[in-house]
Amino acid sequence: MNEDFLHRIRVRPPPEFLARLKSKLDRQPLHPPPRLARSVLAAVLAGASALALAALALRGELANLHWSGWSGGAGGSGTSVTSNSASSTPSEVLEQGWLRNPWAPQARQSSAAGSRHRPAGNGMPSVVAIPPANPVAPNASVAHYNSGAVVLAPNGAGRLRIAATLHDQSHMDRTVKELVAGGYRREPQIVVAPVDRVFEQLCADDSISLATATRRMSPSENQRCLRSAAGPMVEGKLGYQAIALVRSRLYGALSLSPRDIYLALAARIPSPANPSATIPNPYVSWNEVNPALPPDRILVLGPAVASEEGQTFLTLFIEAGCNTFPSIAALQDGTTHDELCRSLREDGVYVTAPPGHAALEERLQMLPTAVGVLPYPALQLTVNLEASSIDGVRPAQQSIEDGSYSGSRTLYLYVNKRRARGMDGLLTFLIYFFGTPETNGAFVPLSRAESTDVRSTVFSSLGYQPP
Amino acid sequence: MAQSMAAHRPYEVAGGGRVSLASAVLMQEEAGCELDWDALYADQAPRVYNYFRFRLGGADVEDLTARTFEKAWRSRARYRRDLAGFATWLFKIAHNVALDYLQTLRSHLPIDAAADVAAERTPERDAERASDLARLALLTANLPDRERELIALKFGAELNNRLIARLTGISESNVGTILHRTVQSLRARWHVAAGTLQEGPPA
Repeated sequence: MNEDFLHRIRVRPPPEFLARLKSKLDRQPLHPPPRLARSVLAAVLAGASALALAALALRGELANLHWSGWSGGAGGSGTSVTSNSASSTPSEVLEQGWLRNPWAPQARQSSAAGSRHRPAGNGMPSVVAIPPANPVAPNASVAHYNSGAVVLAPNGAGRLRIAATLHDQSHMDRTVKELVAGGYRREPQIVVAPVDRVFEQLCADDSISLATATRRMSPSENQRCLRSAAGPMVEGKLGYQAIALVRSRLYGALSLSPRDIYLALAARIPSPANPSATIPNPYVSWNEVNPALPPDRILVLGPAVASEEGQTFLTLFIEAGCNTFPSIAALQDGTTHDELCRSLREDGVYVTAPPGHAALEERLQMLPTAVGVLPYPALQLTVNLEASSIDGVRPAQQSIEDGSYSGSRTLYLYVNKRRARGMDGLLTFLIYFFGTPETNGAFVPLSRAESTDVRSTVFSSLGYQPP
Repeated sequence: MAQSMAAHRPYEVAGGGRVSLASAVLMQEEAGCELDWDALYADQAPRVYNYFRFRLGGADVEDLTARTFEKAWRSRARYRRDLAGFATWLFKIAHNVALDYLQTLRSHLPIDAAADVAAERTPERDAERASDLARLALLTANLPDRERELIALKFGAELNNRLIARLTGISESNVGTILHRTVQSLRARWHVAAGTLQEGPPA
């Protein structure tokens, strides 16, 4: 029986939804069911107690009893930990004195004033203040998160300020929202900045606590940090961003370079006759851009330019191709550089794609010579599309991880070690940050083992006991 | 298909050999081993998600999926392996969530209303209505609940007939017969239904 028409309707749930739900589920502790014998014994004891009390009541001595054990008075903690509520929010979790999040530090002795040791409920570890322990030697494994987000030091006691580029702004926004919803009183401030500016601020002084970046800190930037009041940073890898350029299998993929893509799509390009001047983009077909390419009409379906994925596409392909022209790469004027390297044609050559990989796949099958811009994770969900090679390398997990696929980049996190010592809020922020899933469609996470290793090393390098 | 492959990716087992996750879970259950909840989530979440898509069409599928897993996760310590297989247990929860959802619906669109909705023309709605899911919703709207449930469990959740029989209380052979008859009927009307829905404009 031909059932393909029904099987075709199945879709893969959005990865960000799955990650978000998993994160929520992970916060629910597993409480073993009471053993039958224990339950029976408890019932018997309760019954016996009731009978005894009834007997005493009949003897007229009930009025002299104190029910302290039931009222949570002197003998009891008075705290009911309903930790297994399906509606537990981070605030309830924090209030109950434990964090299901596996990155929460273990309870430990602390002689520091202001320790926030809370009574543990159900044997779960308590959240305690950061002890003034000697930090673990640096060399945290490096996860590069190149979103250019910067967490600035609080004004006064403990307020975090965060800066983020457009690439990571939504992730930071959601982290802060979760933090505030969880009862965190001093809302971190978010400031958006380009990644170069992020490192400038991070290394200028010790006012910045945390930064995320879309490239790795250079040695000279690191030296600046070490020489300034900022001091040493802990570096961690957060994952990758990767975008594929795809076509229908009917006509097959292209072999492209960022320069080809820039010349095909940029609003203005260097004049072939006079490279120091620019002209409106005149190209109509791919073989005009590069004679090695087929004579197909240039038509690219991609994300909205203003979206996070659109901006990632601009950076990885258009700007990268633009900078292959030395005269443009050498431009000091950032505005002019952006105008040349981040502005796309508006003559119908670049079209905003329909939302979702399935719709894009369907559209590209109807337009088999068109090129689609697809986040790499979504490529795995398609069957009729083929990814183009960029500079001879096709997108794959290995080529993304080793950096050989130029349509990808690694994302980094930097944390100021000196700030970490005196700021409990930074620990809380980091826990929420790692627990808030990334929703940028182009995000490629680390492997589970590497992710665990990175987080553990980051926390331990900052003086927090890793889980 | 990538989704089917993911659902049946092989797992190494002690002593060599490779089995699907479903079989690995069964073996774990039979051996009394602690279940790998992360792996179960990864395997079952797409099934539950698609079960709701097939069963309830335009509902907030993510919310219903989340509700199902939240209920299951709260109770996972009480999951009694000796009483039912994990998938059976999970989809019983999902079925109850679906029933709760249906009971909260204030109105039920008759089949004719699906075409009336086409009056609200936007490019997004056109594309949505033209989708196979909308077509399925249109065709199954008049099916009895039992048939709709079987279609959702078979093609949405990708459960086998044995599990479906355990879930629904219908005999395994009867499950096969009902599904065969229902799919034949749907296939016969599939292309006819396409004409009822508005197709999105080509690029």
